[in-house]
Order: sequence, then C-alpha cells, then structure tokens
Amino acid sequence: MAERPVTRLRADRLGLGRALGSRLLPALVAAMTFLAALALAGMVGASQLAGRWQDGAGTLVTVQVPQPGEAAAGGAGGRLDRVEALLDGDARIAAHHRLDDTELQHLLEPWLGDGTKLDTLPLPAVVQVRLRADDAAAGLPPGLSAAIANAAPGTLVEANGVWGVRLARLAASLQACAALALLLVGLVAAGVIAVAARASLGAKRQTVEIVHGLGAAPGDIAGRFARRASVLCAIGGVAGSLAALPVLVALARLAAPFSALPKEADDALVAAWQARLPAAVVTALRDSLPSALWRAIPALPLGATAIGWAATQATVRAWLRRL
Amino acid sequence: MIRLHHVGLDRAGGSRSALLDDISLEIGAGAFRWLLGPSGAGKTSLLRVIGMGERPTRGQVSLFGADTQAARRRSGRGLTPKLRRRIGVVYQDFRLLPELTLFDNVALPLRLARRRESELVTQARDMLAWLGLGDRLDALPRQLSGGEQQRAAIARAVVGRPALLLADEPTGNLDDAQAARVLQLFVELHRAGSTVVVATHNTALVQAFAAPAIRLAAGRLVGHG
Ligand SMILES: Nc1ncnc2c1ncn2[C@@H]1O[C@H](COP(=O)(O)OP(=O)(O)OP(=O)(O)O)[C@@H](O)[C@H]1O
Ligand SMILES: [Mg+2]
Repeated sequence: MAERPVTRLRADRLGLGRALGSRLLPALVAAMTFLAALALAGMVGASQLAGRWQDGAGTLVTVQVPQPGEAAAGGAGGRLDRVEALLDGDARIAAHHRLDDTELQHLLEPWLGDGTKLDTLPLPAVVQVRLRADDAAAGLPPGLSAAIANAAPGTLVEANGVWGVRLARLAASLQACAALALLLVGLVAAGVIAVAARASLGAKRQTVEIVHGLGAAPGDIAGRFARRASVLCAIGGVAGSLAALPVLVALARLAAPFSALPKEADDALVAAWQARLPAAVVTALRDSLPSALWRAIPALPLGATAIGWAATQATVRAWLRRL
Repeated sequence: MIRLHHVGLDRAGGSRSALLDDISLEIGAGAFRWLLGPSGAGKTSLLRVIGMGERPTRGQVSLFGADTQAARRRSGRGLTPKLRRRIGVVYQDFRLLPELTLFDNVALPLRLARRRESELVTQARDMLAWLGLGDRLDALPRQLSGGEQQRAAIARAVVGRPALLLADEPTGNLDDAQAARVLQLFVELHRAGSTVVVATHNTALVQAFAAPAIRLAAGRLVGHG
C-alpha cells in the first residue's frame, strides 16, 4: 500500500525536485555560451595569426650591401663575400640567399621598367636572411650587425621582425580582450544563474524553510538546487556550442588565407576521432576549424555546467545562512 | 536542557512593544511544561525562538548545552542541522510540505536522520495509523481536513522520538477523543525521556495531565512552575 510512494519519492524526498524549473535559464546559458565561443575563437585566431607571422615574414631580414665588389674594411676579400661569410658563421641564421640579377630585376621593375640593364646602375647586393623563429623578434643579433657594419660600412639591415613584435603585441592585446570578454560572459552567466536560483528559492520558499527547520543540512538543500541548475546549464551550454559551430566554421573560412588551417591540425585528436567517424568526415571537420578550437569548444558546456553548479550553491547557501 | 537568558524578540517593523521581553527560564531534561497565556501573548514566538525558528533580538538560548547563537556562527555551522534534528515541532499552522504525500511528510525527519528506508517505512506507517490516518498515506495535504493535517503534523513531529518536542496548539482542530489520544502520545514521549513543551488554550487538556506551566502575557513571563 505504501510501497508506491516510497519508491516514487526516493529521488525527491525533500520535495525540491522541480526546484529551478525554468525554461529561460537554458536559453540564456545557450546565448552566453555562444558569445563565449566567439570570444574563444577570437583568442585562438589572434594567437594563430601572430604565430604564423613569427614563422613566416617575421623571420625575414633584408641586408643591402652597397659596392659589393669593393674590398672589405681590413682587407681580406670583397665586402659582399665578407658579409656572407659572417652570416654563414652565425648559428642564429637559418638560411640566407643573395638575390641574383633576375630576381633583382623583378624586384625593381616597378620603378625602373623592364629594359634597364642592372649592371649600368650602382646597385647594392641584396641578401635575404631567414632567422631562426625564436630569435625573430630581435632582428639580426647585435654582435652580427656590428661585425657587418665593421666589415662593410654603409650596409643596410631591414628587419621585418620589428613588425613581428608589433603584430605580436597586437595579437596579445586582442587575446587579452577576448579573454576579458570570456571572463565577463562567465560573470554575467553566474549572475543570471544566481538570479534564477533566487527566483526558484522564492517559489520554493515554504518548502525550503520547513526542510531547513527539520534539520536538512544546507549542503544537502543547496546540492538539490545545484544539481538541477547544472543540468539546465549543461543543456544550454551544449545548445549554445552547437549553434556557434557553423558561425565559427564560416569565420574560419573567411580567415583561411591568413591561417592555413590543415597544417595546424592535431594528429592525436584526428587519430582519436578517426576510430569513431568515417575518415572523410574527420578530415572535413579537421579542416574546418583550428584544432585548438576543437579542443576548447567542448570545455564550454563543461564551464557552463560548473558555473551553474557553483553559482547556485553559493546563492542557496547564502540564503539559508540568513534563516 | 533549555535555558533562556534575558531573551527579547522585537517585531519585524521595530515599532510598538516587543514580542518577547526579558524572558529567562530553564526547563530541565525530560520535563513536561504547559505553555499558557491569552491569544497574542507570545506563545508561538517563544516556541519559535526555542526551536531555532527565529533568532532572539537579545539574550541567549541554549539547547542541549549548546549556545544556539554560537552554533549558527561560522565555526559551528554543521551543528545547527544536528540540533534541529533533535527537535520535533508541531506548528500551529501545520507546515506540511504541499507536494509530498502524508507518508512522505511523516517520513521526512527519519530520512533527514538517515534512517534505513526499510525501518522508517514501518515507523512512519505505524505512527500515522495510531493517529487514525492509516488509510490516507498517499493523500496530499490539500486533500485533508484541518484535523487530519494537524494529526499529520503531530505524527511528523513525534515520529523520530525527538529529545525536545515543541507543540503549538496541537489540538486546536481535534475533537476531544483525538485530543486525548494526542496527549497520550506526548505523555508517552515525556515518560520515555523527552522534554515536552505544549502551548495550548485547551483547559480540559491541561487538566488531564498535571504538569508545571509557563505563563505568558503580552510577551512577558508572568509565571513559571
Ligand atoms: N512575524 C511577526 N511580526 C510582527 N508581529 C508578529 C509576528 N508574529 C506574531 N506577531 C504578533 O506577535 C504577538 C504574539 O504573537 P504569537 O503568535 O506569539 O502569540 P500566541 O501567544 O501564539 O497567540 P495564539 O494563542 O493566538 O496563537 C501578536 O500580537 C502577533 O500579532
Ligand atoms: Mg500561537
């Protein structure tokens, strides 16, 4: 006779089961997860852009040696030969290449027209130097610059690395902005969840007061609200992340010329999914977004769930403390 | 057991006279006390303060040797639920949980005390049967008469054999036979060692069991013992 209610209510013995029964909360959390996904994409995009610049144009230094054929200061060979020897002898230089006449002609065409004979002009020799990536920001090592200036006075060194430093700074501030946006979205989410928790505490006020009066531990009461909030936030988090995916893929496609996606792909991640999905699908997914984003996006619903749990716990416990 | 030291309780608005004014009293472990006084004298307010339903504005309340104010503070936070679980309260307005069946309402204190489910089912059922509600286990509070709700509230307060029972006008909706049965229940609990405080206007009930009385008038103690 009494067996039925006992089993039916085992899951809800405090009468708080439908606490926080809002449909609005998952929708709000979904919207905020969507915003968080955009901020996250901004962070990943900025760091990738900076990274690629550092690996590419940022590592290039142009060295112009005037009167390349004349003797170097202090005897011993021509000016250009000495400069090239100095570049050869430095471990921080990845490679260097002297532009030949055809390349120079090509470079100067816009200014001189295509009929000009280069050997009639007093042109400097142009050497393109590629630095090792980690030294790129500094330009040529100072000791090397000094040695070159000694051996071939008047030599010009133009480092793209200066731009690399500026770009890195720009990327860092973009990343900081995106991180700030992410933080704000998290705080707003916590606020919204706290308000929702207050509302459902208000709706369940009588029950909560009675159960508290009977000696239910605050942690037990808060846990019931927090579990429900977690579920609602998880639903919202998953929905918001899924909604953000097509937008992120579209953005990534727009930015593709700058970020060259497939090269960034993460082999371990790809291998893990290849076991579960058709190879073509995995490849298509891999190529559609940077792998850093593929790793970060699943964290969003988890983050939403955690914020939902923590904000509700804090709200309910604070409310109970006043009883 | 229960010790009140110059306890005062102000009205929510802060104006007019205090709900309780400078009440000091001691009730020994295992005692039975009637709590008497005209309507509005402050009986419910006093029971609320004793049962940790409200913090006194002034003075101290100690239960089972523990200062309730200190227990509420940060260091003793785990203590208040424990204290509350040793107290059974029959509220004047019942306070059954509207979304739980009668059975679950009565089982609630046992579940909060983490009694085994197999054990508490018999206990709750027997208690409800003794109070004449054995066939209403599945009913929700709103489907019950006032007297049935009151008996359910009594069952919930008594079922866990609390060390302290605070009953506020527990027979207000009951006929004489039911009231006598309820008194019998309280006296049994008292004989088994619990402290019992019963606020009532029911003179027949008071006459049926000889015990010292705490008398209140306009929030002041006018007689004790
Ligand atoms: N929360 C409250 N805020 C302000 N005044 C209150 C509050 N609760 C009760 N009162 C007032 O306090 C006084 C004492 O109330 P209390 O309920 O303690 O009396 P009582 O002795 O239990 O009366 P009764 O016998 O009618 O139950 C009454 O005048 C009442 O109007
Ligand atoms: Mg009263």
